[in-house]
Amino acid sequence: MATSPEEQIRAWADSTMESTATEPVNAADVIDRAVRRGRRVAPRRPLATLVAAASVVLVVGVVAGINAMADRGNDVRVVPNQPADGSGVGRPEDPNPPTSGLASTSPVGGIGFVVLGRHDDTQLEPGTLLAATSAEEISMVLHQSGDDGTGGSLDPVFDSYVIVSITIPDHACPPELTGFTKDGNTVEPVFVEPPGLCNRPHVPRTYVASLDLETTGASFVLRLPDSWRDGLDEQTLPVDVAPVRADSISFDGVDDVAIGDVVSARQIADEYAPCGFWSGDAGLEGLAELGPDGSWRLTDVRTSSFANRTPSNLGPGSTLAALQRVYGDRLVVDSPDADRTPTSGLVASYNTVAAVRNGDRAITYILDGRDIVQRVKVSAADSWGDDEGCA
Amino acid sequence: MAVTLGLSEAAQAHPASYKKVPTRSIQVVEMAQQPTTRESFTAFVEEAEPRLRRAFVLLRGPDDGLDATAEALCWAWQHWDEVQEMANPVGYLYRVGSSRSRQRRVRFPLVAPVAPNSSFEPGLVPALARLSDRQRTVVVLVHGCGWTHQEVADALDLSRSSIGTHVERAMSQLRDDLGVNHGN
Repeated sequence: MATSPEEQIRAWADSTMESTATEPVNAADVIDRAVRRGRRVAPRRPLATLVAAASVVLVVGVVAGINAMADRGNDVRVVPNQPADGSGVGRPEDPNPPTSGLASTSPVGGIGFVVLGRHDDTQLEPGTLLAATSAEEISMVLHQSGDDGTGGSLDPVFDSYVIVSITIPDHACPPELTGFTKDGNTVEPVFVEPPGLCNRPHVPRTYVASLDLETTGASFVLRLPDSWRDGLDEQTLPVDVAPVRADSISFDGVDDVAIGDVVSARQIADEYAPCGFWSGDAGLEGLAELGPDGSWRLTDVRTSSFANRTPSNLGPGSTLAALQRVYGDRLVVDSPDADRTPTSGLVASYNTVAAVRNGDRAITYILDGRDIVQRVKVSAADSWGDDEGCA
Repeated sequence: MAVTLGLSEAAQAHPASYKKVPTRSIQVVEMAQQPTTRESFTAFVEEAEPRLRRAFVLLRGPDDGLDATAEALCWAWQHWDEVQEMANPVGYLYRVGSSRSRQRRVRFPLVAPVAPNSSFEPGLVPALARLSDRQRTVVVLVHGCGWTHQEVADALDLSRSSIGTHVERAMSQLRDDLGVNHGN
């Protein structure tokens, strides 16, 4: 018998861990969990097929065009660098491939494009198709692509271009992404193998590029044909750029979804009654609470889509400066420090948040490291902030 | 529509050998000079995961404990650059995991030992259950998981001296409950 209470606690802990025999959470599962958090994850192909084939992963980030927005004066506008020669061709041997301007067109198919980079350190599994419709998702996609540097150089308001990430389990020297073609509403990447003998087999690589939305159109299908090798089926990804819904964010809710609405139990995920995560249409999310009558009612609604805007044209992609300009002294800002120093009751657990109250409701803007709005949450006033709530 | 990607000359000359080359091994060889993000994260998980899992399973039970561990590490992956800069990433991730998995109200103990264990008094677990949530969390992390007071302070966002106070009071109560003489 262990004598001291301290030793007994240790013995109890050891015994408990032994009796539960929990399997370790490994890094691959964690990364997979993070990847699955991305929206519009297409069904995966059998891995065996993919490994044997020249599999391709396409990841597309699409953001609504919001050119008509009036409140853009102080928004950050940084576009990818234009090359001196305007070649529009990324050369694989160059770790910093040259890029074309967004307004230029590729030499092949009439699609304006910019090769942002090529990355050997990809996190993406072959066969995954994702479409990101928010800056948050695009940041994640770029990170998964091994492209942590590009995000800072991109215009945070993706109103004119589409981010594309293509991962190729390549059997040879890295091919050159020379452009994109368009046939009807189908857009395809064009790769060209470099000349000469290559002895670097089986190196997966991710290519990241942006496509000029004006040349792709607001709705198109990204396609990777089956003309690769080993019988890989063609892969397609429908891309629809949602139209801007002005005035869709209010203190009542987002779009046609309001706080207090009853939602279907089928839309509740991670169900921990009486709290649950709600996932609705058009990328809307939120928290719901199970009432005594057995119905789920929304307690907050969240959006990271650029298509959703307040009457003052604020929303994902807006800057903190723009929020301050619109709300003035009503805006409360808190830095991420868990609940150590909430400002006026506003809790910033993970990100800097800026929020405004109106009666018993609040709108919380969740910002990234550049003070750009990533998500908007509409909730009860006492639930403002980025605390996950529902405790 | 011309998509012109094809096999390189080497691949065309030796297609069979190319298909037999394990993708991962080649990738590792090519990246061996500098750990990749994935490799460095994997190394971190191997070190941090057992500590997080032990803490969460003991305090939240096996199901929520594993979920909290996965949530914390998922956050770490999504914020890997930040996590790498942290002095006590496990402590911060404990906070993240706690926050992300606190929807379910927990009741201690969540796991009962399989069989009577001669290494601790039968009254220990009920005594732990009678502690306040904060005191129980602190003593379990300190004495059940071997965390330092500073690590627990970081994890709970409290001062180090506050942790010492919680431990002292909790252990005093446990000694009373277990009938152990103070100072023994």
